[in-house]
Amino acid sequence: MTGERLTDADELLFRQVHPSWVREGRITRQAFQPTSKDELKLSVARSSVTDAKGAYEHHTLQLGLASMGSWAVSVGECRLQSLVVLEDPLTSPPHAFPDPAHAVVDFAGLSRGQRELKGAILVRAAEARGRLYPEDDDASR
Amino acid sequence: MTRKQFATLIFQGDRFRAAMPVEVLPELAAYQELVVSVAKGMYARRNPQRKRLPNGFVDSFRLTLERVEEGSAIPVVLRETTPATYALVAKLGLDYFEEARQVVESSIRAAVSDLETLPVDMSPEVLAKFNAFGKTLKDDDAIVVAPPESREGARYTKAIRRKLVLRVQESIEEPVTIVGSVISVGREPTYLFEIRQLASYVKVEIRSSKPFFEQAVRALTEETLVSVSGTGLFDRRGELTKMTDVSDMSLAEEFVARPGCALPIDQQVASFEHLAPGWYNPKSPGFDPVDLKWTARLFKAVVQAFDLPNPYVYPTPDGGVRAEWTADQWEVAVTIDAKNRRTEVFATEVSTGEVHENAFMLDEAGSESMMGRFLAQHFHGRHAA
Repeated sequence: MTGERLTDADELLFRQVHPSWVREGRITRQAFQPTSKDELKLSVARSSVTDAKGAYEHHTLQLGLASMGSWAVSVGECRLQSLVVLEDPLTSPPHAFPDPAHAVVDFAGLSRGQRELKGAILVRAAEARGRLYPEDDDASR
Repeated sequence: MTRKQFATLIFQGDRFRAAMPVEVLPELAAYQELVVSVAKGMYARRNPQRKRLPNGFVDSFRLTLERVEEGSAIPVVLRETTPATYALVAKLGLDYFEEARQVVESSIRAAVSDLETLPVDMSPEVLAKFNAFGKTLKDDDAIVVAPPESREGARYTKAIRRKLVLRVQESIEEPVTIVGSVISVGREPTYLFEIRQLASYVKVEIRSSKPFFEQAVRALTEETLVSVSGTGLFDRRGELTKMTDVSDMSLAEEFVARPGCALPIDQQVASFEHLAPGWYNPKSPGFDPVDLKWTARLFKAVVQAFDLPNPYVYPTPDGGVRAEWTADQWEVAVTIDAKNRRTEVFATEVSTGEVHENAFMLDEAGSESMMGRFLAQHFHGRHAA
């Protein structure tokens, strides 16, 4: 259940990126924007609870979803964009697997253009940090 | 026969830094033709009682290209002279061709300085000959027309050529490439077809040879976008009024790679065929190959028509296709919903937070060009970094 705001500006928020969303090492600017089905909340995993590898393995091995790896932005980078980050641990049931690290970046109330802008800025920050897991630098097609 | 330097033509521009590209060689022939025309006109004006040129007048003037100076684009233009040449000059009491060279140079200088008056020997008929000289010049090119063994002369550019020719003509010929759809063809009285340009949505009539005409017929039948290069006729406002010949024509699918993503658009878009329904979330649909092909063709045509870098192309979770560009502080994206023929365009400037957005229905006339113009503004226009 969505809970408290995250306040540690240095805390990293891991985001899994689908393989079709990385082209020649460049991540689509959609990657850090919520889709319509997400109710304008972007799912991330907290570095205070898990790490880049744990977030990747939860996504791929437990949930069985495709990922090119874990990229991250910080709570502080979200705050600079006036985006609130809320803890949102998932329990099982109702979810198939528990995910205590789950959190959301809230894009509610923003126009489509503003979501594009803030999503692009977050992707730039994540690209600058580089892929955190797997650590090799071969994120190509 | 002896040879002596007649003029120095210095080709300036990026493409001339190391050597002289062969496509500009016709400029030397056009220059010779221009000098001959001035000399003939000068003789006629100064000898009104004479109905004809003296025997051997034109033949006495022949320019040759001895060499191009190493590491530059300065052709050494020599004039061949024979005893007959000297005899003619002695008989006429004047070297008309030497005078003509100076008239050409002075006329260019006058146009550069925006002078109303040109040299008296530059008649309207002769001015029209500038149409052929400088035809291959691109926007940033110039030819410095200087006396022999000098590097100081009159700077002849595309704009100066236009000024001179449009003093006596309503239109001017310039090389042009357009991209668009063939909308009509006709074999009589000559091979003609019409293209509606993607960039401006303006129709242009094109006269062509039979092979290019046949290609146009195919493009009309198959509704394929084409890129056509050749000679365009531009009016005084700089508007393309028609194309008088075609030198190259290619289908949109044959466009070459550009800056940006190294992968061709076709290849990027085709990769989405392998994404099964549910690829991103349970509601994500798969991709229809026909829609993907249509989308790729649209992206390629817009990229070509508006001279954009090759985009990075990604699938969207709701079955659309999204092309993205990063241009310094700008992030530019287009999302195409092929099923509903709808497109959304976004440009966001990450340093200032400025956002531009728009949406178009792609089955409405001119929508593709509006989309292209929106994109081009962020690369070439007022929003470009």
